[in-house]
Amino acid sequence: MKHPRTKTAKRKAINLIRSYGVLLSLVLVILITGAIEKNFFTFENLLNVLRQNAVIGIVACGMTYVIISGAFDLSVGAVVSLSGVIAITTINKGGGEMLAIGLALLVGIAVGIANGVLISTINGKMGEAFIVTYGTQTVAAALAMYASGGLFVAGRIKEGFYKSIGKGMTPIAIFIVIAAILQFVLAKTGFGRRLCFIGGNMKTARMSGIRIVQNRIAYFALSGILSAIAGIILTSRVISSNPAAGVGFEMDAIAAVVVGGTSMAGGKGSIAKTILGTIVIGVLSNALNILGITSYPQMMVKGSIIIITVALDVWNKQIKERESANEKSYA
Amino acid sequence: MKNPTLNATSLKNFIFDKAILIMLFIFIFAMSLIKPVFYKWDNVINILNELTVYGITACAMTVAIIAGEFDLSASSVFAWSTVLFVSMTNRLGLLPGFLITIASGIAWGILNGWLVAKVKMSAFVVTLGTMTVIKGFAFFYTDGVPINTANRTLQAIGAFNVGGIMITPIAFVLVFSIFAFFLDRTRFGRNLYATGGNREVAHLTGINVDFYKFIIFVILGICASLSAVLFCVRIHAGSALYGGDLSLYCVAATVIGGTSLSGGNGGVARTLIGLLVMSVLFNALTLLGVQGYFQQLIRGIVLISIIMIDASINRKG
Repeated sequence: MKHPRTKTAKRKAINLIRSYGVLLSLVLVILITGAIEKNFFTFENLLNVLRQNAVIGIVACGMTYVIISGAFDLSVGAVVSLSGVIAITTINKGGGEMLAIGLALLVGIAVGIANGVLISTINGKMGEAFIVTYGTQTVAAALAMYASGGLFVAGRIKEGFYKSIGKGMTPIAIFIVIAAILQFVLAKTGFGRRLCFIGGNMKTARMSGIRIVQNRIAYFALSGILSAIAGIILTSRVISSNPAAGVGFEMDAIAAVVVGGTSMAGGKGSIAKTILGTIVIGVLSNALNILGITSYPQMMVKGSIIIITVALDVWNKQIKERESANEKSYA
Repeated sequence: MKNPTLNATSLKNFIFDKAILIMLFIFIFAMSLIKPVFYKWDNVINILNELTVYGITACAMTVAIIAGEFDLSASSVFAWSTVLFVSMTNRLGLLPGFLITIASGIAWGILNGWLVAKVKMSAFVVTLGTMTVIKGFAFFYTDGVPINTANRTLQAIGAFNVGGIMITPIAFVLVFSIFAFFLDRTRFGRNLYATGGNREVAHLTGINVDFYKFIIFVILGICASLSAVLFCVRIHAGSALYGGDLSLYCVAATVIGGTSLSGGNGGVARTLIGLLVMSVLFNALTLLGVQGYFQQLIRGIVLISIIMIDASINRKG
């Protein structure tokens, strides 16, 4: 009798594709693009990809926490815009770089705490999180427009600390440090375990004595402050603020989380996956740019990639479930 | 226990149950005192003509939410449909243009529905993906430039009205009644509620859950493209930029009306209240002369307040 666990070479290959579909498609894209265009493999280009996507990556890290906790945060894009506007305006009014950074971070935390307080006091699920963060998104975007008069504001910044934040390796370093800390906290500390517990089953978590409200406020505050950091990096790179700079960031961040493989159902996920998702999307759009594909077909490709990677993931899980059911029946 | 007399408890329950409706009436009353223009026929007609365009999609969104699903791609289907409808009307005439547009709406709905019901992906991810893809198509097709139509029949339909009421509210009433009837009175509606309430139990009862998860996306596709056609009837133009806020608007109207996003309850009548709240608010802010950013600010705050008040009352009640 053939044992179900016996694996042929073919089956091994299929398993590999199933488990590492996202990673393999990334490698494939890199190889094909590199073969066609010599510019793709330059150090400068790869650095540029990482630098550009560090901003989305930082936002996506906060989003990962919120999604694991069983909610999501639509306000991040508006917070990116608002904190950038606040920072540049403060500097232009002669407030100093540290004050500018401090105020921008404060705005991020404030919006995050507002989200957290509003959602957790009404014991909100996805639906409430959707409406509340859509509301705070509207408010934050309006404030960004108001503070900047709806215009680009050029920053009167001299060479110095603020300007160096967005330069060279710094954004990448910030992204890596933040991701490493958050991954450690998620995987190794009580805070991270409580996060997964709350996202997995809020009722049980409450019954076991976890302070749901405080913890949930912390997740949204984290998402807010990370969005503010992203806003600071963004303005530092172009030395000007745009009240619409972060429009659409929420969807990009959610896409990065989801493509990485963290489920929208909550309760589990990882920052490492989100980094993978961020890089996949980043490399892909860079490759499309280098291949000279205009932004409209790029939208189609990006959307399809989101669907295909997740479909592959779902397919993989279904087969695994079937296999484990088979193994049980043999046992 | 039956209590025929209206006592304090039943009054309190009534107020709690109808909190949104009561807030709406108080708001309308206050606005009418401040700005008498507000309750003039022209303004009321204006509100109705405005809200019913998105209202059709909002009804379909409600049906999807009742079945426990969700569609972010409706805004892109809308944008794509305005583009397709205008260009096909220019090339082939009004009726073929209309039919092709609705057919494309159905096609997008089938794609969404297949991915959710058969491939078993989460609706959020699927529609996030198709939202981007369909928007890409709309931009690619028009190269980002709005297109106009000078079709005579379309202009005639756009000019047609009964005492100011355009064709849109009439279409809305039709669509609304169909949805209300099917949700309340038919097996289709009951099965839809069962599917949204508890998928496993519904499946074990013998309901073809996958069919319902599939069909709601087709309904949404049809309604989003119908909304787009009615939108074009008013403004005779199509652009990939139109309807960008449609999905969020529809979900907000549904949730404000009192349909829970977790599925299994609610109804289109509630969504009508949600739609009224949103459009009366927008209209009032414009009439009061509140400008741009402040209007946006107040809208956001009111949106949050409504959901907070409603949630805290319903939790106690």
